[in-house]
Amino acid sequence: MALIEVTKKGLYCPQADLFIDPWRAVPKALITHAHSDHARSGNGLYLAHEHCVPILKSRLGRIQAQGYGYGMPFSCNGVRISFHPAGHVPGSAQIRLEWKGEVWVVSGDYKLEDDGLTTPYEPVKCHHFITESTFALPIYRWRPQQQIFDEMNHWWAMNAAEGRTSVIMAYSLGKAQRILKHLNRQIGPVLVHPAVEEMNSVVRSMLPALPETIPWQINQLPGDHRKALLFVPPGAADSWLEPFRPYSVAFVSGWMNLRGAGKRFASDRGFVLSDHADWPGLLEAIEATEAERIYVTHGYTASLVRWLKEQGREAFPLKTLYDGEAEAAAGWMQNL
Amino acid sequence: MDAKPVTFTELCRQLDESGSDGRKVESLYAFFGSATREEALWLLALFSGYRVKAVFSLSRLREYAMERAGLAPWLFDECQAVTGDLSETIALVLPKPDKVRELILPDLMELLQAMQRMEENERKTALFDAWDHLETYGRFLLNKLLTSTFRMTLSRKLICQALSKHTGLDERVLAYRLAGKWSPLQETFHSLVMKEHPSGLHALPFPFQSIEPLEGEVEKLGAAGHWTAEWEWEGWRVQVVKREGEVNVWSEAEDLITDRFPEISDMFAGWPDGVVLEGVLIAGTGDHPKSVQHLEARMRKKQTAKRKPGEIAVLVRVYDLLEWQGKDLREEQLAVRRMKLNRLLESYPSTTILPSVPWTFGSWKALRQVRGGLTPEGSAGILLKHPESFYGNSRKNEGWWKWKPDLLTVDAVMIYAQDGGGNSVFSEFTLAVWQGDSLVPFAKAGAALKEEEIRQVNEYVKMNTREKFGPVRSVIPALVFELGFEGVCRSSRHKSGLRVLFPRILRWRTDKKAEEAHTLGELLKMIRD
Ligand SMILES: [Zn+2]
Ligand SMILES: [Zn+2]
Repeated sequence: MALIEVTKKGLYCPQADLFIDPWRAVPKALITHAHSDHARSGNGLYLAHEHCVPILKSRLGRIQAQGYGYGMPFSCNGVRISFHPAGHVPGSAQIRLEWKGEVWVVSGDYKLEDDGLTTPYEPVKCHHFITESTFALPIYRWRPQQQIFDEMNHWWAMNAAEGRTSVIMAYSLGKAQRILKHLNRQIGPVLVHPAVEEMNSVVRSMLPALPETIPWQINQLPGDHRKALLFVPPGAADSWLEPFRPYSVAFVSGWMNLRGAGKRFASDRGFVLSDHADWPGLLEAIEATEAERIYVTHGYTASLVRWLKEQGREAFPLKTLYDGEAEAAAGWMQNL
Repeated sequence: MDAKPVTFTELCRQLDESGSDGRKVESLYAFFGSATREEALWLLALFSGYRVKAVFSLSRLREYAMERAGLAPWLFDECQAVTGDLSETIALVLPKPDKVRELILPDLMELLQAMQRMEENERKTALFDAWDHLETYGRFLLNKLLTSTFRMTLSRKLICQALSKHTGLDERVLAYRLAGKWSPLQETFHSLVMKEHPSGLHALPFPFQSIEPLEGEVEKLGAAGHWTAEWEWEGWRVQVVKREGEVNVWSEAEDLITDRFPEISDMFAGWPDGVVLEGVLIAGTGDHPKSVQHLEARMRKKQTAKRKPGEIAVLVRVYDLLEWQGKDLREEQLAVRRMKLNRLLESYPSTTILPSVPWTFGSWKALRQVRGGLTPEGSAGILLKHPESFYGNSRKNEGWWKWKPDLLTVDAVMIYAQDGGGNSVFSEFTLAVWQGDSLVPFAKAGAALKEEEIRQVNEYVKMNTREKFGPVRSVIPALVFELGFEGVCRSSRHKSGLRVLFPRILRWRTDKKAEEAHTLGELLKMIRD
């Protein structure tokens, strides 16, 4: 019997009787991070990193949850379980499970670059590594985030100079806070959509490094809104932006790496910034685990498996229902 | 804030990213401001469709890219399946550049020419060197030029707007100077754009007389007997200017379109000089007019002298004569201009230059009946003109009025998309309404969407295709369009049991989900027997 197997409800550890990021309701779930494709509602008990718990509660309402620090192991029917930094979003973790000397690591979503807010990713040695593969093709190679933030600040300053409000569409958990941390606040005020501000206040309570933001209510336009930068979640209604005309919309995502992607998202500027590892990042992370077997899920699964096999590694595709940015993108397409 | 100078690479990136015409003109204007004249000349050439001979075949470039990036063919192909473009794939997978150089157009063109003459080995070295010193977007542009697949074009209208802002010259004069055949190898920016002779003034049209939509009741125009009616034809309003042995055709937006419709020059080849006519350019033939989509498709394509097989023919329905024997007729009464026009049309009979015949009517009631009755194919409404009116600056109530039929509308779901003949732009859509749980198709129509919306709808069609049947694709029903039409009648030939008259898509209801579209029952209620 393997320590972790795929069931209809999700990744499952039979020995500990625990599911990991299950996509159906289960009694006990280990959660890698609070994104909706990993943390679904209806589970009896949520076990997650201590910074993930308040986010889960804010997103899912009244839940039973237990939080743990990074590298603080606990046991469950003989299985030693611990959370390790994944660097993906605040409170995100890789989950390490050890039983009878065999170590498995479930990566969840991760990125290698230190984003300045989230606890940076740390490689965890293991025998079996279950990795995501959202951007597992050589066309996805990120530039250092500072370059992107410089361009973003320049774009904002140009808009401000020309009297256009800057609108950034970014996921409310993770991307928004990462960007907020690196904006040049001298350019103008930063306003946020109530949904983003809700997430900000939860994150700020744990990570005080997150700068203050002004939650913005409809019909309360600040005088200098032309110089403002406004955060909205993808899919925010057009009516919400109407009072800000004229404005320029930027979409911030790893998918912006492709030409014309901006147009697909009805934005007029795209910034390539992702909380997922790029192709070199994935290869580096896999290498660092020294795993004997690699299970690939969540993205360009087949390509990464084939590539690893060609390098002489034992690699297998794992069929799961995680969809992350891919689904968010498709969903956004549908509600254009 | 210091504006960065807009380089060629930056310009192309901005044009690629921004949807609005205004932004595009701004970017181009900024480019002209920072470019040398030589760069500006080359840009005009490239954007007007100048083709550089391919230095590498696509397969050769792919081969070299795989070598440089160290990728297996299958992995390279997977990448290309995602980007959909070879040049882009290569740009993304190559190793990061060492020291980035800027792409300067004249230098680049010289390099391309030099590469044509090189031995294969030398050529490959030059290629790797160029790749190693360019950023992703620069590489993308280089790859496009190397394989002669650079297709970044901009309408001449927008180019001329930016150029006019930059040079201070009349947009229309610039349009004339940039039209036709010219080579960047034989011209300079000065000789092409700034030259005084020929000035281009002889090519200019007159400012178009405005046509006002008629609000409220038609009776307010006064006695019916003072007016004449004409069909408003579905097509583009144009002025055909023939002076100094040259035919120039201008659209209502003062866009010079002669080289997109070279057959019009032929049509008027035998006509005398000093003539300016106004009419409507129509796709198809007199008996079988087609939708304006076909004209738009022609505008998107670079035209060769001969009409390609399968390309739609055009005709001009003429209704006014603004200049005759070099004399400006705009201060003559419409009735007089029409008389002269008729004589002219009789002397030059043609199947592609047809008159648009006006008629008089006894009462507004009678005209109302005409409008509500069987209208000729390809007509979109009625125009009312006062026979004593001058062209251009008529007194109020003596102008030209557009009397549109009252439109009926429904919200319907798009279920099929069809590309507009040859190009891969989907411009004709089949719409359906609900009957219980199923969608019943009832109308096929073109859409008057904004450029940005066309792109989004096309993207949707490509990503949500269920099946392909030739040029038609069935798509997952999700997009809702507002369809306007002028009437509904019963029809046993149609699956829906009805037929809508003159359907056209008015707008994309992005605020509606498919479930919120109208039902067949609601449509049936609109039938007035
Ligand atoms: Zn995630
Ligand atoms: Zn995910």
